[in-house]
Amino acid sequence: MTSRDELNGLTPRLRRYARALVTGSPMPCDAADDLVHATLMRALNARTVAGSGDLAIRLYATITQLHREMPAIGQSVVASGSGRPTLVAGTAALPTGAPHSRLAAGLLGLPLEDREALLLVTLEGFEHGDAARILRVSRSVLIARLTQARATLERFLESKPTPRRPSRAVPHLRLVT
Amino acid sequence: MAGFLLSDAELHGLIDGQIEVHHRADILRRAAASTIDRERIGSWQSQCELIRAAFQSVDREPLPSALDLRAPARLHAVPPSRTSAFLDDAPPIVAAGRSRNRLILPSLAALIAAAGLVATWLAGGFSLAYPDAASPDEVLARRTSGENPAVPIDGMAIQTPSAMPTATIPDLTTLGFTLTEAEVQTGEPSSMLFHYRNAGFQQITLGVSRSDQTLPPADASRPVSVGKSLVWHVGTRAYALAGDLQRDQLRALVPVVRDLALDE
Repeated sequence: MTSRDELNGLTPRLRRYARALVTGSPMPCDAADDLVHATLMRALNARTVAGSGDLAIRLYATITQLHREMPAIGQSVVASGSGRPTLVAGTAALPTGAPHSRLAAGLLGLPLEDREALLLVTLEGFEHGDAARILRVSRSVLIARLTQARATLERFLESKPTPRRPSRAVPHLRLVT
Repeated sequence: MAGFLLSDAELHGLIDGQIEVHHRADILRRAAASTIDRERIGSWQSQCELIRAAFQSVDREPLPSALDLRAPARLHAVPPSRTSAFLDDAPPIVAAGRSRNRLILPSLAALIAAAGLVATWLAGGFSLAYPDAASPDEVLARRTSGENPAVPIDGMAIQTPSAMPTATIPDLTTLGFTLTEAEVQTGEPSSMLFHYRNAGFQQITLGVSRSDQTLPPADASRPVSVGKSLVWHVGTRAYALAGDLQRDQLRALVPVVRDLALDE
């Protein structure tokens, strides 16, 4: 199997991860495909693909890093409760309604670091040690992020979506003469 | 240890199937004794199944050509978001560059008008060869031998649309620019456009046209401005260079490009 075959074999998984990371949804997304494309090009240009046993780990590390550097997804850095800066994805276009949309909204609502950890382990099936290597954190940090992500997502999925408040037929203020 | 709550590592290990066999029985026994742990395990396992089920269809989707490394050379060098403008009947390598036509076409038209000599396409005669370029035979040999069959190589031959013979891509890697697209102009089969990009994401486009008459050689050393392009001609070839660079920077590139493009 050539290095290109190896990369091609991993590309569908990278697409899946990229979509989950960028939109939280399985629907096609150009930005996610661009992310995968950039990752593949970087791997090809590095010319260290052949014979590498940890190709998947390096590709996922690359795509995770490239996603963090993406300027267009509305990320902002905020301070979390523990004092560490946390990347939080913008929530301007959170989908609601269908189960997958609700899941997408829940995933996008997670801090990016927690979302990365959850997706690598749950969706991509990486062992905790490998996921920690991809994210360049210790195993205990990964476990903490998993706990945070799962608990937050659980609360979100169990909460009832708040119905849109109907607009008032009567204005708040009336002119009193 | 029975009766103690599971640690987070044990809990996630259990959910993700990453518990060592000899610890598994003990952890399962402790989990069964704790209502809180049982609930968390059940809830988080359902969450995992929900996520996997939501994304399982992505694996089965066919890859777009830009992400398929078994696709013909160069197709994967174009980001997928730029290939959505493919025309139904045009090869992707041609259609991928159409979005730039609004900028390039006027320049090229001006070039052709200025030269006034580009006329008939020499049947089977478009063949650009440069010192670092691989000949079509070499490229064919590389491909058939399986040696990096689709690696983008600046200077390698590409198969243009069926009406066109094989052309060789000018190699500008010495200038820091790598090829991103090669394009044959619709209705102008005697002209080709080569789009390049450097590490700073600055882009330049080199247009090459062929005439059936020899042009005055004096202009080769004095590129002239036509619109946003610098144009010059050598022998039966006319060249146009345009891009994101400042005019002075673009002008500084011309001698190098010109030297590359002079030899056959």
